Formats: sequence, structure tokens, C-alpha cells
Amino acid sequence: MRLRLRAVDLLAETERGEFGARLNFRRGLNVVSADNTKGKSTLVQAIVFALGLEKMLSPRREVPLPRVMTMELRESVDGPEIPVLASRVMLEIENELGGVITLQRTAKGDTDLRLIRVHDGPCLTSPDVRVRAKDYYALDPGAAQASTGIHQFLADYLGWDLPRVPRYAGGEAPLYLEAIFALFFVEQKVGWSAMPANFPTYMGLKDMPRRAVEYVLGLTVNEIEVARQRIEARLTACRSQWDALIEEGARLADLASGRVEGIPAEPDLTWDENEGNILRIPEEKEWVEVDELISRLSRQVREERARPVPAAAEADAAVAEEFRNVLQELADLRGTRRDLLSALQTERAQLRATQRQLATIEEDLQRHKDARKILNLGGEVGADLGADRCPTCQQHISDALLPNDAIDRPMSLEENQAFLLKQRELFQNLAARGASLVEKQKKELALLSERIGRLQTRSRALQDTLDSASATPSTASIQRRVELEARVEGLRRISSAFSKLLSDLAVIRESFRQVKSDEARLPPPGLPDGDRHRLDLLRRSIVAQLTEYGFTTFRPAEIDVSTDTYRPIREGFEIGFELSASDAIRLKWAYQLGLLEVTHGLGGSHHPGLLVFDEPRQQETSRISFHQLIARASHVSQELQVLFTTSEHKPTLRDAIEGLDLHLIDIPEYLLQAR
Amino acid sequence: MTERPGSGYGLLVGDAPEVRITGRTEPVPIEVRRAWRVATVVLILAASRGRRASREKVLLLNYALMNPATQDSLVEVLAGDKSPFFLQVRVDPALARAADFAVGLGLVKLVGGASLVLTELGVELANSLAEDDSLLSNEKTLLERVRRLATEARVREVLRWR
Repeated sequence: MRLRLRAVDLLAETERGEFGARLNFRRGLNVVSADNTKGKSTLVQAIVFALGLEKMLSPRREVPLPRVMTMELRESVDGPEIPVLASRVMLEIENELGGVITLQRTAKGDTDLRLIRVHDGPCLTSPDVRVRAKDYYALDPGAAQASTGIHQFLADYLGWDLPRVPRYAGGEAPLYLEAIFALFFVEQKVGWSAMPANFPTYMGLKDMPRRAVEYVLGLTVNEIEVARQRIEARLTACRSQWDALIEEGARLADLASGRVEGIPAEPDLTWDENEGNILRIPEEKEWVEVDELISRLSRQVREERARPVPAAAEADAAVAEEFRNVLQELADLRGTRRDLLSALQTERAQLRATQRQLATIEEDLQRHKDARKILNLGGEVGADLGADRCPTCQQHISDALLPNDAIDRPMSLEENQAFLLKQRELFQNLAARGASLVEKQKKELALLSERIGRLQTRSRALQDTLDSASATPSTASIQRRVELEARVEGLRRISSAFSKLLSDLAVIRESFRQVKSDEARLPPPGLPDGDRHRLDLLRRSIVAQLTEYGFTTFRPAEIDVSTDTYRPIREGFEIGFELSASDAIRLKWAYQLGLLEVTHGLGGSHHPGLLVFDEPRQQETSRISFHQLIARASHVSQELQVLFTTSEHKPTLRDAIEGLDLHLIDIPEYLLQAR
Repeated sequence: MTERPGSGYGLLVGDAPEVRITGRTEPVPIEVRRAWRVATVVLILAASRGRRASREKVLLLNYALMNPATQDSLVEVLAGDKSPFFLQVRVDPALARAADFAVGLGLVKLVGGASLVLTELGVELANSLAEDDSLLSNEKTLLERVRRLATEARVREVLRWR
């Protein structure tokens, strides 16, 4: 929302009575003409002070007003100095909704200097109207009682929802008003010294200048970046949840020595939880899908149940035959297992040897690093440890302490180090391959052992059967039945866990779908078109102004506004020292006045429509440039407000403003006069 | 070799380009790198009383630095807990060369014909080496362990034991 200054009133109480100054401001351009030594700087500092924004001028806690408000003042040039007993400032302002308030703050006196009393009405222009008042405080940023802070109040008054920005010290803070106001309040002593504005970077916000310009111009690039990061975080969360479920699936499969097929390693929108996802279990010599296996085994169970349990005697011949087969198979399998075991041991030994080699290489690499550090340290104290000439006889030598014919061409230290790095890579690869081979063999061994275990159980049961009495039911047969049923039960549990896993994965897939669609709605990376357009508007205003002001260091058209820092640049480089001092001042005028002009009526921007330049004619900038500035500023819309203070020679000034639409406030003597 | 290949055998027709053959470089162990060795000599002297040590002491400590597997034995032998029989100190030609370089670079001085001492420059280098804890850390650890035990007298006893 726009902010307009209506009136300011300074009051100083002395033994000789009250002294003060009252200035009324109008819309459009206001020019205060006062002598440099007669209190001109008091004016702008007092306005800043009343708003509670003095931190923008200096980190010090003292009242940032000149001695005339806090120590002593003079009535006339040759008059005596009169001590000031107490003083205060009052500032009447208005926002776009027509809400008029008056801020009152003590500069010297018994009241807390941080207290700012906000009167809910125009106490200066309509002093007879009674209004309510509430007290606020100019607190340190981040102070706990934010509800009574003047800055929060002012932000609300201006309808500004300040963005939260990161601090160097960690955490976040709202973008301080002092940072933003640096773009439209240029105080004489400190304000002109930095381009494009003197930001109070000591306050510790990261990237403060950029954020301030972003907020004032209403650029959206930062919000988009934050949204992008949030989406990135959600994607990462989806992926890791998916990973966790895949892990679980692998563990589930391991329970039956099986494997999972058909599930993609990453969330995939084309994946269907109802099709193509299989858990396969090894059975005999093939891999069977789990549900298929369950029905096969269930059928066997039913068949077994349907058959009466054969008495042991009947089963004799068949049992004996089966027993022989099982023993044979066991013998074969045990032989295979022995071979596997010995192969595994060999691999393990190989792996250990490789790892020992790696350790040696690492030690060697460390010593080579040390050797290079030693060379540097030697160089620092003036001893050339790596010289390729003998220090005494100047004969050519290598840095290897070997007799000259020992090795034809020794590697240099760097070559040796590179060689060792390659060796290390080689051995690391070897070790990795060895390790994975060992894993594979261990798995095979486990599978084999399991099969052997089952066969052993079977053979014991068969043995029992053969040994037992003829009328008793065949142990082997019962054992087979029980084992089948147990296996079916186990597989059923695993299969249902697997189904649940698939539906859990489907849920994640849907979240993933949602995130991806949010991601698709993000604008492409880089500066959004709207932002680019705004920066271009600013650039055009700056170029036009510089031409009017007589900028000469280079052609104004060469200036651009950086899309990274929003600072003025030329040919991609920061503009700095190549500017003459007065051209630097012109650029500052152009930038800040440009911001004022360009944001007028620009949706989403946050400029208060107010610009205060305290002594814009710095560095002996030519009179003509200054008058051009005044002319341009006088043409701003009446919805905006500009305030210049100047100590220019009064007759010259009057000539310059002849015919211009502005409000001239002339201070003939000292600012503070007897009341 | 700049002789034209093929010119002696009549195998090539016309002029062949010159061929040069250069040998491949070979890696060398770190123990013969001058900078590293000179640094170990400087460290040994810096850990000695008055920054001075006999050639024998330097030989003994150098042996343990180059053969880390013998370091525990060295400590035990110097402390008298083990017989010097277990320490087979070998002569190390690279050590002599490293010491010569150290002298030539002005880091070390020969005194009395049989002892080495650090010069001011050597002391400066020793201090720089000491500052970085990660540099030559194993070597520094061993020298710290034997600092009090490796007196000139004890070193002589150990080396002349028969």
C-alpha cells in the first residue's frame, strides 16, 4: 500500500522556552530548501526516527539525531548556544485506505527512547480532534514481544505480509523494514555511499539487497524456488518409501529362497499393481509363481488326504526304493556342497589378499601426500627439497635417492601418485568383484544346504518307516503330509504379505503421481516472464533517466539490470569503479526513482509510493543534472510523493524550479525556531 | 635410436620417418624419495637432545622408521625388555644420501665428524612439519615413544651388542 507523509513536527524544550519546526507535505514533489549547517539533516533523520527505522542508518543504539535535538541549539548565527532539556518528534502519515495516524517519539527526556506512541488520527493537521493512542516499541529484530513492535504495526499498516528469509546465524526472520526502506529513503550521511542503496547488511539477513528489491518489485522467482524445493523433498520421500518397500519385498522373498519379479526399482507411473508382479519360488528344478505353487501343493495335500495312510508294511518296497534314491541324491548334493565350500574358501582368501594389497596402497598413497606437503613446507622455509640439481655440484639428479644406474627413468612424485591411484582403483574393482562373487557363492551354498536339510529329514522319516512295525501307519507318509501342509501354510502367509506389499506400493505410486503433476505445473526454471518484464521496465526507466541527467561514462543504453542480483550491470559485469563519482550518484537517482515510477500500479509490488532523497546533489554533480532530476520528479503521479532536501543556492534553485509543479518549503534560518 | 628403420634390410621403399623410442617410467618406493627421507632425518634430529644425534643413532632410528614391523621390537630393546639379538639393523645407502642432501640444503650440519645437528633453517622446517598433525603421523608417534629411551649411550650398547 502507498504511504504519504502529511506533516512532521520537531519540538525542543529549553530554558528559554520551546523551539520547534513544522513542515507540511503535499502530494507529488516536495523540495525543502535549507542551508547545510542550519538543520537540514535533522529533518530526514527525524522522519526515520519517528518511524522507528533508525537501524537503517547505523547499528548504534544512540538516537540518530543531530545535537540540535539532544544537546544544544542556536537561534541565530551569532547567538549563544542554548542547552536542550527535552525534545520529541511527531510524524503524521496516511496510507492508501485513508487511515491517518501520528507517530510520536521522544528524542531526549524521561520516556523510554524506544517507545513510539501511535495516535489514531491527524494530531498535527487537526489538533483539536481527540483520538486514542497506543504504545509500540522499536525493538531489536527478533525480540520476543513482536505484538508491541512498531515494525509489525507498520507492516500491517502498509498491508505488507513480509516474507521470511534466511539469516546468516541460522533460522529465518521476516525481511526487515529497514532493509526495504533503504530503497526509498536515502539519508545524506550514509545513504549515498552504496549502489543501488545502502542496505543495513550488518543486520544479518542472507542476500538482503536481492530480497529487498525482489519484494519491492513483486518478483515471484523466489516463491517458485521455494515451491520447487518442497516438491523435490516430496519426490525424495516417495523414492525412499518405495525403496524401503522393495527391501521388504526382497526380505519376504528370501524367506522362501525366492525372488521378486516385475516391480520397478523406482516409482513408476506406468506400473500396475495388478499385473505382472510375481513372487517366484524355486521348486525342484524350476521357478514357480507362488500362488501357482500354493495350488499345486494344496492339490497334493488333498490327494494325500484322500488316500488312506498306508500301513508301514505295504509301503515297504516303495519306501525302500525312495530311501535308496534319497540317499543317492544326498550323496550327490553333499559332494556338490563340498566343491562349493572349497571354491568359496578360495575366493575368500583371494579377497583377503586383495584387501591387504589395498591397505598397503593406501598407506603408500598417504606417504606420497605427505611427501608433497613436505615439499611445500620445505619451499616455505627456503629449502628446495625437490630440486633436480645437486645443491653443491649442480649436477643433474632425480629426486630418488638411488645410484644413477639403478633405475633408468624413475617416475616423478606426481606420476608415482597417479600410478598408485590407478593401482588403487584396480584393486578396488578386484575387491568389489571378489566380494560380490563371495556373496553369490554364499547364497548358492545356503540354498543347497536347505535342500540337503529337507532331504535329510525325508531320509530319516523313511528310515523310521522301514524300521518300524508293520501295522503302524507309515511315518514317512505322515511326515510328508505334515510337511506339505506346513509349507503350504507358510507360502500362503508370504503370498498374502506380498499382496499387501503391492497395494502399499500402489499407494506410493499415487502420491508420486500427485507430486509429478504438481511438478508439471511449476513454471520452467529461470526467471519467470513476468519478473523479466518488470526488470525490463526498470531498465528502460533507468536508461531514459540517465540520458536526461547527462550520464557520460558510457552510453546509457548499455546498462542492463542483472537477473541474478537486480543490480545495474553493463556487458554482464557489475558497474563499479569505472563510474565517475557524479555518474554513480546519477545511477542511484535513476535506480530508485525508477523503482518508484515502475511500481506505480504494478500488481503485487510493494513500494510505498514514497521517495526521500536527502541532499541528492552530492559530489558536485552538475547543477544541470540536478535540475533535470527535479524536473523528472515533479512529473510523478499525484498519487505518489517525493521529498528532496537541498542546500543549493536559493536564487539558483528558484530559477530552476520556475514553472514546475512542485511544493517548495523554504527554511530561511535555522530549522528550529522559537515557538 | 635415430637410424632409419628398414634402411638396413631393404624392406621399405622410399624414405621412412624417424622413429624415436623412449623407455617407460617406473615407480619407485616412497622410501627413496628425497623429500620424504630428508624430512624423516629432520624429525629424528628434532626429537633428539640439543637437536643433535650421532650417525649411529640416526641409523638405528631410521631403520625402525623404514620397517614399521620392527617398531615394537625397537621400543622393547631400547627399554631393556628384549635382547638386541632381535634387531637386525641393516645399512641403508639411501640414508647416507638423504643426510648429504640435508647438509647440502643447509638444514643439517656435521659436527665433530660423527654427529649431525639441525641448523636454524632445519629447526624452522622441523617446526613446520610438527604443526600439521596429519603429516608423518606414524613416524612422529614412534619417535615420541623412543624419545627418552634412545640415549646415545644406550644406542651404542644396542648396536655394538654381540
